[in-house]
Amino acid sequence: MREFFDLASNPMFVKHIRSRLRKSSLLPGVVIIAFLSLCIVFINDFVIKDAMRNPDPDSGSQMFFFLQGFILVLMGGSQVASSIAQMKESGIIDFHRITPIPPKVQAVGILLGAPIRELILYSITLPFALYLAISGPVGITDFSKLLLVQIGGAIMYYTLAMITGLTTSKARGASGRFVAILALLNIAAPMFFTFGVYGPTLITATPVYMEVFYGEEQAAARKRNQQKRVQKQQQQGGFNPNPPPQQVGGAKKQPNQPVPQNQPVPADDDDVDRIKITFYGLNVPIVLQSLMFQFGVLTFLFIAASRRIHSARLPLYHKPTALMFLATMSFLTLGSLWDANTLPLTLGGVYFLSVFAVLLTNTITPALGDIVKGMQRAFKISESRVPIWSDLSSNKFLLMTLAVTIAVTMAIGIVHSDPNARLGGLIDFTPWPSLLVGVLTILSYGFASQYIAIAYGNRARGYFVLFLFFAWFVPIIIGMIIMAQEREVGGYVLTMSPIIGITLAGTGLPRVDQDVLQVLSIAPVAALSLIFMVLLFREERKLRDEIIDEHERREHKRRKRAAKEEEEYEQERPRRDDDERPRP
Amino acid sequence: MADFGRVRNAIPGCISMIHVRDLRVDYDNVCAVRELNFDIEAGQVFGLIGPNGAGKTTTMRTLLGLIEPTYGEIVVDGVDVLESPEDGCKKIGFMPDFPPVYEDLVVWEFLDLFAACYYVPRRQRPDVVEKYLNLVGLWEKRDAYVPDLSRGMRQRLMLAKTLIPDPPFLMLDEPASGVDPHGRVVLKNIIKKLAERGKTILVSSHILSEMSEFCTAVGIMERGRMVVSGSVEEVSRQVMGDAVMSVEILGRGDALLSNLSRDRLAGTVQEVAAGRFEFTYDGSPGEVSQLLAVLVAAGIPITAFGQKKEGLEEVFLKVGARELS
Repeated sequence: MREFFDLASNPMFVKHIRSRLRKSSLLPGVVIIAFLSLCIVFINDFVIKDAMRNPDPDSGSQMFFFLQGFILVLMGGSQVASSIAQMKESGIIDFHRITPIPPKVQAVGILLGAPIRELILYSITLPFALYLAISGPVGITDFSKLLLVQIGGAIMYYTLAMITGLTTSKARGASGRFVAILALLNIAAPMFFTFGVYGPTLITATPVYMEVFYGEEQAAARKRNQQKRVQKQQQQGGFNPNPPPQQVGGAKKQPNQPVPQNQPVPADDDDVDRIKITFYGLNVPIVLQSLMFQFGVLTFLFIAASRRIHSARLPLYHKPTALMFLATMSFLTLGSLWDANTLPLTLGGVYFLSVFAVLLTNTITPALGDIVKGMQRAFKISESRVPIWSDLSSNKFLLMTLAVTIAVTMAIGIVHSDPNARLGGLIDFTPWPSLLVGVLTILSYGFASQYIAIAYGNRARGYFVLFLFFAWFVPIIIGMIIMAQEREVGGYVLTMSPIIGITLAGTGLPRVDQDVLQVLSIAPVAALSLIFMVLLFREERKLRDEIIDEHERREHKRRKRAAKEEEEYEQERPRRDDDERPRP
Repeated sequence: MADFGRVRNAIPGCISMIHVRDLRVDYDNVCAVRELNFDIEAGQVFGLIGPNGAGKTTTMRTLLGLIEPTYGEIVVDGVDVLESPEDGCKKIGFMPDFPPVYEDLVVWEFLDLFAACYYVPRRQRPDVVEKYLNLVGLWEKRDAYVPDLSRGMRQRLMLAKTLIPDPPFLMLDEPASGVDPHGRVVLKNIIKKLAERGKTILVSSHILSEMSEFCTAVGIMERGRMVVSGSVEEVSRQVMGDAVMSVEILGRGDALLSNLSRDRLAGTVQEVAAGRFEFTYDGSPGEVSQLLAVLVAAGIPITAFGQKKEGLEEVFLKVGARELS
């Protein structure tokens, strides 16, 4: 354990310190970041505050938040991804694999060593950001919240970057792939947030950012300050020639009307975005919830990264670890959606957990080689089958366990939530069909991916992409085309894609028969699950028979060879006996 | 590392440095190594020969623990590397055919990194780095950036890195591949020096003429199987048949032919050049000595007498042809 935290003795950390902190490469970055930080302070204090007459600007702090995010997450994460991808591509990672340094220690060294230059650049911005936080409306508490969630998120993203680098075939594409994942996460998070699905977005810094800059307390505090200033000005001269701006729902206004005397500015509560995220009904601070999510994800990503550093051919997770990961995320997601209405709870939870389970399925679906290896090994030790929890067994058992976990989690949430809740009072929502489509989608995806992996070997990837295209995207494309002319038929086709089907099975469509919609959402994924499950069982049996045949053939050959050798030995006996006689 | 039920064959009193039994490695639906068995004695320089795709590199990477075999047993210096890979990796040094290096480090930093990876205490590391840089003749280049080194120098740097943990067993995969003639000679001398120091070495190479100079044993692999293995003489004898004797005499060979025809251990005699004869001889070294004495006593003017050494190329080609047939 000591080795884990002793960075000074961590060879990978020291290696990166040496290579990435050479004066010639560090100095330009330091100068540029210091200059940019000064510019932000100048813009905040002189341009916005003085020239634009905004006495309480938080624009500087926001600019720092984005600059720091860029340095810490984008630059640092890209560096981690490309660094480890280069190690993998050159083959030097194999040398580290065969050293006695434990993979976890190596992972920590790379995780904190590869982005060391970016961490230093980030630390340069901190004094400037702190100055603006203290002198502006943000304050030290909110500054600390942002700092915590930024650093926690950065380490989580670095681990993600490490996995990206370790699983990318070409080093050049690693950082691009990481940036794409990052962009996807940070675009999806505000979208979820807008729809009131806060829970899963806690992985990102979005909820804390929204709380700090647009939250209820923040806005109320600003209003209180504003009131004080207005009252002070009224006492001094009555008329306010430079009225302060008002914060309304995150958008800033510059009111130009004079403020009437002896009339306090009302605390306009309706204009304030309310962010209330409880955890199983408890008022846990958002920053703490965010850190809980980040820590949960970080822990399991770190396990995956360590396993890949240990061996290139190991799956990212042991099957029980994958199940634990899903259980953890289900627990956290349900906790953060506990007080939500049925619709955001079901849709947010089902979509998030289904996507998550699909990603996990990829990590625990063994390739044909591993399945063959497992069967050969089982045969060798006279076992009838490969243990279900083994890395070398097919994914079918774990897949069912993942589906059950999600079904149970969401069922608890649905039963607990208010059954009469509606989205804006407009749409009737029945949660159970949505949940069923979600669960069946996971099963159909997992069975199909395992069957195709076994049946097609190296060509599996292409066929699987084709399957996804036809099962998930073709109904959307065709449905959209038909919908332009035949709304009802278009809706029926559209709902056959599970991407849309999860929603439509619960919400229905205006002027479209909801029962038919539900049947058409559930039927395709149910049929695909069943078909691929049967095919998978058949393919596994075929493979097992082939292996048994191979062993029997080899055993037959061995016996034949032994018999032939025995025969030759017997035939040569007279000559050998003759040779062994002493010569005259 | 093992996922479940790895097959172990209990081999009591295993004294070989490397002991491989019943090893099988599968990739996708291809069996790369099948039922491989071989032993390498301590202090041997073992040459692993085989065409591309024979399974040499897979075997080496499996011995290292980089590939998990389907089943089998690998014992290195008494340590089961599949059961305890952490202990096993300290016993093995590996140098691949194409040396991967960190492009952003200088030579001494590169070695210092790997010294730290093998838990060499911080204070001893400069001495260790100096020792191995001197051994491979790169001390003058200690402050050079690794990308500035030539291919041969990189190969030697990699060898120095391989030697840092002072492993009793070294695996060199195509060590001279892509290296210029001078670099090859330097590498060959270093390998000889290491062999003299008692290291057990497993070398895979396509340059068979060079391998025969320093290998004491060889194993020939074909399609994932070890076709033949043993000392160079044993393998030669197994593959090429009885020993071929070569005799050079002055003048005509009538007396030689009549003497040899009387010896029942000698096979057909062929005159391969003027005054030079070759024949197979199925006898022990003592009987060879006796034969020489008989020939000298018969007054045959012998200028050269000895067993013809078969090159590894001939042996390898013959095995290849046999396998294909």
